[in-house]
Amino acid sequence: MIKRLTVLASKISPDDLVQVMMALRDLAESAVAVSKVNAARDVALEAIRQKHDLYRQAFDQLFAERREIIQKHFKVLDRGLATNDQAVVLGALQGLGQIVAKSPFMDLRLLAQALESGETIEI
Amino acid sequence: MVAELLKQIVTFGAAGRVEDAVGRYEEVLARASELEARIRGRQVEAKLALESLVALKRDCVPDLALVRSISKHLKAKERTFTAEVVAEDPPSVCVAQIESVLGPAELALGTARGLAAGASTAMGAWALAGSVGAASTGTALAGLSGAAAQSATLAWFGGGSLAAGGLGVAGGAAVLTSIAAVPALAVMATLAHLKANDAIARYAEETTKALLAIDTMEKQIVALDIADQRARELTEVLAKTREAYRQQYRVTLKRVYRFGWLSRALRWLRKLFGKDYFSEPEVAHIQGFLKCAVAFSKVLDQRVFELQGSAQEQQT
Repeated sequence: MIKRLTVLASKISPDDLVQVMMALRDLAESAVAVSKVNAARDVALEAIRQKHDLYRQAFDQLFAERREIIQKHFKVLDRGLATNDQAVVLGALQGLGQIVAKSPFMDLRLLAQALESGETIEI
Repeated sequence: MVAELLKQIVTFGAAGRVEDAVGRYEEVLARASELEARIRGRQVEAKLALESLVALKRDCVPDLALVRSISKHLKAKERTFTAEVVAEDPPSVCVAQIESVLGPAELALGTARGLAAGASTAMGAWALAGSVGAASTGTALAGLSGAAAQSATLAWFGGGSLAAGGLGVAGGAAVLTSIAAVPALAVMATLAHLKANDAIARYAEETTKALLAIDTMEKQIVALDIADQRARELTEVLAKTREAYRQQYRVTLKRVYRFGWLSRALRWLRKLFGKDYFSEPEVAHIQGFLKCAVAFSKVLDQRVFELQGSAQEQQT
């Protein structure tokens, strides 16, 4: 192998050798640039995945909680209607009004702001 | 198969690397297409949920207007409470409230449609712009075979076809000839891979742009999901509160007009002789019913999209 390389080197002019070395350096630099772009893409892909997973988790939980509270109010309301208890009916209706008055879009906005600010978010 | 092998040999495997980059790019585009289809599906679902809610709200307006049939007989002092908690003209107020719900909802839905179309158009543009590393005919290098592949590969070496401002097939051949004098294999491989790196880098950049579009589309899907769930939630709650309100109305009506027209006649007579239309306990009960009506009207007044947190705003 060394012998072959020695023979090859003896056939290459110094100028050619310099050209080859420069080409190899360009290749190395280009490869580094490509790997940087690839890394950036992978980071972006992972960030998108994580962010939307977080959104989905947060809103699945948010709507599940709302549904649970709403169902509890429905039970109270049914009881009030069955017993014709106006105060119980009123309490349940007002409670339902308060739940639906809180827009989940506002939560989305707050979550998006928190994500952009880099705050630690606990779910 | 032979053409593929030839292409890999001629380009020292660089063509394969470009093809890999093209493959990754196409995967991202395919993902974007899937998302676009999902957005269209979610738009249909959200639209149905919104339409259902709007229909229910429309039905609720005359129900809320029933309050008038009782509240109109309350004295000014007794109506003070009524005036505070129930708008003077409930039907018109409710209609306005429904309009204020419909307006932003349609706006948001229109925006959602617009955004989906925009994303679609953008995705189409990216698909058309996928010309990096393609032969000047517009055919992807990877899609060519045999002599065409060889010509395209040679043109690629020459910086593209003559029409595209490159040196063409002859130029590519000339480049190959001129570099044959030096340690040919090493330099050819280096050149091939340098060009491949350049193409791969451009593909990677385009892929990153496509990923940003995917991010927007994912966000759009989240917003549509929320709109859909919000509409369903409001429909369910409104239907239930309407049921309770109607029951309370029937109970109140039965209490104050137990004997139907005869009760009404007796009350008119009471009023004629200077007495109150309703007794104090009846007024207290009516006020309880009116509080229920207020709670019902508040649910009726709820919007799917809040102006400060609307689907439209999520996209800006």
